[in-house]
Amino acid sequence: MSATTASRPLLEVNDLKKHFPIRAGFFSGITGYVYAVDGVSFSIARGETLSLVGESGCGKSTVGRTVLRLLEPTAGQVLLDGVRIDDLSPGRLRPLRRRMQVVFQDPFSSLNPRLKVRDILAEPITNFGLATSRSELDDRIADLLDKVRLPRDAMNRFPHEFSGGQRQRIGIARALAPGADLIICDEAVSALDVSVKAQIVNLLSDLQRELGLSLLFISHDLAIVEHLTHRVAVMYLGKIVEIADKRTLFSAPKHPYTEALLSAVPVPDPTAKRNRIILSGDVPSPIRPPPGCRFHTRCPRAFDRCRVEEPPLRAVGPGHVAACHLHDPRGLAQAA
Amino acid sequence: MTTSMADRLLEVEDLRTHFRTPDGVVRAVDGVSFHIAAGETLAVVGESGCGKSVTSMSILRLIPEPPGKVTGRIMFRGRDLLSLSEREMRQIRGNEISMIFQEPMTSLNPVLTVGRQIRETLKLHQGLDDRAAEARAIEMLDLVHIPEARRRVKEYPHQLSGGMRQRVMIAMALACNPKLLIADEPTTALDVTIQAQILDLMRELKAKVGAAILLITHDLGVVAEMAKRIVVMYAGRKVEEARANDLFRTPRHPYTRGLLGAVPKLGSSLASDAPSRLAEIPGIVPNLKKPIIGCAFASRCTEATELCRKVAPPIEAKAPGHFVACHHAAREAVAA
Repeated sequence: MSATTASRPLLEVNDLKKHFPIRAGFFSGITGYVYAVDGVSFSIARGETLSLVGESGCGKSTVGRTVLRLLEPTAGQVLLDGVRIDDLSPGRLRPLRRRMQVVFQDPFSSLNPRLKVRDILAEPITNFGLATSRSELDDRIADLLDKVRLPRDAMNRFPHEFSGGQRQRIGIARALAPGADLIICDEAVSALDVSVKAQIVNLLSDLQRELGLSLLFISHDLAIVEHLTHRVAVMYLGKIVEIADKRTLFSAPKHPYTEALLSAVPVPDPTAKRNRIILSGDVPSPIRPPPGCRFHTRCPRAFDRCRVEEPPLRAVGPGHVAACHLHDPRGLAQAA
Repeated sequence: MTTSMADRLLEVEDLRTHFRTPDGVVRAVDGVSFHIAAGETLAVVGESGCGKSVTSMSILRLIPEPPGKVTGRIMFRGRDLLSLSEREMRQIRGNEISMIFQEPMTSLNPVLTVGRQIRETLKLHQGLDDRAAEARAIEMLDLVHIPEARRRVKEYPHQLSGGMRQRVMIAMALACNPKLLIADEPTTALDVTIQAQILDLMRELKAKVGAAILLITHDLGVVAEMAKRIVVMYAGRKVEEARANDLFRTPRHPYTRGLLGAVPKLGSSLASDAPSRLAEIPGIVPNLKKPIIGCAFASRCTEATELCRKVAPPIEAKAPGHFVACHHAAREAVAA
């Protein structure tokens, strides 16, 4: 295992795959696979936010869960701080779990309704033996509540006494409790109302700056992503189709799917002119992904090569990769 | 711009929908008035719990009484819907007024084919026989651009994708040529690219069918694309009403301003590569189980004064066609 260096990304994911077997019945064999994640690679630097965006069923949440080893990967590597964690035994993995935590979408179902906030936050701290005395534990909990801007008396209340936004603050405090440096936010603000959503988005960017956290922000909401991310990876049907820094991705996307996705976002301005690319049809099934480029069935610019040959992620600019034959210098002749 | 009384298709006056609960009376809708002209699209926007959906349910008389209690007047084509018998109401629902709900999976019957569900309204309200109803069902599916309509009428809801199901819902709602279509969060459950398809379809059909639309949503982007006039609700009350362009350009209620500021706009934070902060509305919505004294927004409003906390502001015209319930909203010279 290589030594930790400051330049090394905190999280590296190489060719990650997660295929779910389909069984026709309890006793029958496997009849097929759902190719939920099918070869995904990215990295996240310390103190960086990478957003994973895409529509329902594109595999973005499965990536998050597989990185956390809440799901076992089918293939590929996951490195946390240079250490491979995809093949570690549960016992060896456990101490590393302290460093990567998750905030879920639904603040109603992801907190135990029978535990007081104090116990919810104490659990990760005591699990990892991070407090030696009762008073130290209390100090840590009080500090966590301060960090997420909740009053300290919240400690003695139950989750149901809080609003959705406050509950999400508790969820964030729980993720911070063991001193994690990587937090995976799986649609963490999607269930919240507009005014509360803005509060939580700001809290996450503040915490990231204060604590130097790395965030993997999984979301379908592109406008929110634009406001809190450094870099963006766009997923479609189990694959990453484009990765770029925020400004490049939002102002000069290269993949036709990214273009369509951005143009589909409703603009809160009645006078805005819209050049909308309306994609026809639906996302194909991940059980039988189309051959060639997975997007070719809906792509307005698909040509023959797209139907047979899968485009690899190619560099199209500094720190910018896209998986599209249109951006292959050799492919242009065929596109014309 | 005022419409003459004769053009008004629907006129809601001082609507109050209260629910009796063990902990007290919840004032879900508390004195809301608005109107819709024939063929007009009016949007009612607000966050969870502001009473927008209860308003639409009250119009259709879908509020169970008890525990609910609906008072006020709902004039539809010269009749007060609140004074009609259940039998008379049944002739209006799905016929003259129809509704599209948010969740197409739960609002379609899973054990009946979509064709049968569309035929049902046609047979009931239009007295068509089986064969004519079948032909009309296929025609409706064609209208909402469902490919292979002849085959699709024989399918069950689970065989259709989310976007297709919402198309079926729209086909069903329009089957009897309604005068008023109530669309409650019609695209909230859909992915952005599918949302773009459905919004496009709704605009196209509106031009064809000419029904007035009451659009209930929390998404200001959707509102900006669809509505000519907007009502903003907060804590069961109407706080602002204006034409869409006026509301987005010069919001006059502090809540509307806060809401518009809190919505991230695509492309608005690209000046720097780092995350940017969103405008927040501090605090949370008031508890509707307690009577609200004064302005409902006072506890979160930066401009609130003693007057706001004591006296509820009446809704007044502050500019032509622009109504605001705020003590501090400036009145524009009427000559403008």
